[in-house]
Amino acid sequence: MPPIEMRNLSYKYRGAAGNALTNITTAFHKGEMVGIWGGNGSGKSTLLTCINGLIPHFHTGDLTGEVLVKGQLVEDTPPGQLALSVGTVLQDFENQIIGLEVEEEVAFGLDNQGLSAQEIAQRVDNALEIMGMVGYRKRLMQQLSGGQKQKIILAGVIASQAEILLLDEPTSALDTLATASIYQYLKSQQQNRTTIIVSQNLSNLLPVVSRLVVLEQGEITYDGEPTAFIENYLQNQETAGHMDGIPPVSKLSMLLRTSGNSVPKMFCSVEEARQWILARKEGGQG
Amino acid sequence: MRDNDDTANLLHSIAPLPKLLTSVLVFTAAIAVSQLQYLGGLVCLEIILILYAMPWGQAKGIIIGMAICAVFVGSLQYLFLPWSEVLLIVLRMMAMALIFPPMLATMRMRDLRDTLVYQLKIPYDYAFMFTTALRYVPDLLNDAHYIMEAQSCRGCDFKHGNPWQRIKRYMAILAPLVMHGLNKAETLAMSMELRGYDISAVKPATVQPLRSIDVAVSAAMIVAFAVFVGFGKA
Amino acid sequence: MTIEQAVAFEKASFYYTKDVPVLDNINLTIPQGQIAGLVGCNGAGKSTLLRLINGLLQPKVGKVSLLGIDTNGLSAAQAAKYVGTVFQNPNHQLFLETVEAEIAYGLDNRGLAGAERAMRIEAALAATGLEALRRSFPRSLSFGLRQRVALASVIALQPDILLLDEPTTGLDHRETERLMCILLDQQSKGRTIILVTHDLELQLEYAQRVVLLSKGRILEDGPPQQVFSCYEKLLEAELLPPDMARLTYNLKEYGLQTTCSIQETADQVTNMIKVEGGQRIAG
Repeated sequence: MPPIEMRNLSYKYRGAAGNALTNITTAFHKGEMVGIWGGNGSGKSTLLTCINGLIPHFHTGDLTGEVLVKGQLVEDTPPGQLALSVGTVLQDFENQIIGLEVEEEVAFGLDNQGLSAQEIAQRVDNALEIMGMVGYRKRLMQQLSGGQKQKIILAGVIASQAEILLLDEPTSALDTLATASIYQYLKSQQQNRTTIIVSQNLSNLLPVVSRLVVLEQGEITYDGEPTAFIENYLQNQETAGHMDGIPPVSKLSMLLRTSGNSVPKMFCSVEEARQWILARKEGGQG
Repeated sequence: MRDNDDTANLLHSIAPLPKLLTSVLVFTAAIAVSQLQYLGGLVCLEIILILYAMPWGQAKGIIIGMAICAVFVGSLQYLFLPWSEVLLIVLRMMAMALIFPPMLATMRMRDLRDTLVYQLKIPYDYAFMFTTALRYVPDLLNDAHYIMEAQSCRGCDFKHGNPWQRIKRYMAILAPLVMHGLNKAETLAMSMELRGYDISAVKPATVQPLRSIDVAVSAAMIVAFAVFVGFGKA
Repeated sequence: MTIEQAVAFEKASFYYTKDVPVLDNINLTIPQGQIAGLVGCNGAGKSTLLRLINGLLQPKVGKVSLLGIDTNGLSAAQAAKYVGTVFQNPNHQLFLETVEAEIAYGLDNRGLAGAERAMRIEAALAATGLEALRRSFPRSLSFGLRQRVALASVIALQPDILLLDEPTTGLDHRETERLMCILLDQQSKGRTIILVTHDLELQLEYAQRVVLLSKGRILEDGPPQQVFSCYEKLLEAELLPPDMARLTYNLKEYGLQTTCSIQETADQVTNMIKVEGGQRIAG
């Protein structure tokens, strides 16, 4: 049974003119790292809040269909219960902060799980080290910059060791190096969990996700391998004129094809491009 | 609240319960006592405690802020009352207020909450609400600062103009601050749900039992209170 | 004709405590009408630099000038005559009932009235494409539209310089493009645009000149293609270089020149493969 299942899910916020999500049927599996991409208002964040239980327990609206997390209906399970398996980073991370100090913030959920003091301390240490925030343990959250706060929120989710991670624009306040480092860390840990990342930045998603879900006006318009999406997206005459949001490496593969090179698969990362180039260099035009 | 262990002193090592007790006793003593020299002595002790317990920058801010309040209140009272009574009122006000900064500054919010819940048996939700409200004060002050900056950049001059104009301009801080605060509260509530706030009242592993020094300090404070009020009321 | 300097920093430094400079000995001039980008990792000093320009902070050492006017003693409200700032979070600014009222707010602060006031409101609405939303409650709009309202309220003041601090955070690619079109339009009217963003690809596409900040100092200053091709400098500044720079730098042992241009990279790679293929056939 997949950790997350959605069956004919539709949702409309109270007072809204139209649906935020329409007839979503999909599943997310263990070991998957899924990127969710789409414009503002496409339903990306709503999809996550249907998994972590904020919909329907916190947000009122019209919900039809089913969402199951580890076999349990989300509608029948309080968010606190779901929190034992689901770790969430909200887009509005600054207001997500609960603790006064860094240590308290990272440990918050762990306190509620009844772990021993030693285990909590170990997890906090570990999470802070991963985020490069070791010396900040006793600092007040208020003293941190936006980027540092976001790293601490991520540390909290890492410390929770949740099987399901729902990350909504998790690196919006971070610079490019920190962003790449965090995405690589998440990729290294994907085996034992289900990681779903919402981002408007395909350049961040493509190198690390194994599956891309594209949402437009609340509906899934693509769900599959990232490379195939780029191929279709670029070959579509209407969108090719814009090439909005397409990572430069993917555009590079398009230009190389135009120059007569045989590029069987669109590049999703700099490393893929590099390996193709080296392989062509060794193998020749043939 | 406590910053980091670099500035830790003896007061930091004392548990929250004796500190809460001290705050309540000093607050009560300030109300009960009516002799100027006792109140003056209490205020001096509190200032020494502030200077000892808190970083110089914070201590300076509190002392100056309190002095400004004292002058303001004293000036108003002087319109209606004789000097001696004005001094009594001002000293009492200072004595009641100045005990809280050094006590709160040497307490960690989590320890305070645990003390309220597990030692004073206050329901967890109320204790959490109290400590969260306390910690939001610096957050909202921070937000007010950013809002003030943003509005200044739209030509809103908070420093010049007559009082009525300046009050009107402060609406440009107050209104977004309130909206921001409401938004903050909603996101915080969501975040608490998502971190399992409502799972159970499992006793957190971080609650520290009272040690002999905590008991000794508490006992000493009770005795000091009794002596102080006994002499000070005479 | 001499190009007037929109912004000039002369040996400017800023610190909260003397031993930890936030900005150190900054010498920088930005000519009028330029789109200048400011990049650096978190904590490099970008926000402080912006605050020295818009008057929220004063330099501890040296001088900052706006259009030749020394900012010493100039408050942020006074500096708003020359420089408009759009912050990362538009919610810090928006509090009135309609978009039109928000746009008028700065004008009312300046004491403008009558036909001039009405004309500027219309111009700002038109410049940002918000005419249809003039009566809307700003806080009910999407984040991208709120950002545009904040920009419109600043444009209405007709400042010579526009500062934008991470304006594309939270915007999708279409909204980003729309925002940049508005800025290009403002530039065509003679405004100087100073853009702080982590998005190096955006800087590559729109900035005419980029200043790379690291630990409070300027590491590099020049056209974006040039700055972002300085691979080692970008790593020193703790920034991940753009994709093409990373790719071509990692292949420099095969004769590739570090570049940020996708076309140049494609041409170099194609030539490299053809040459190799040719050599193999000849061999």
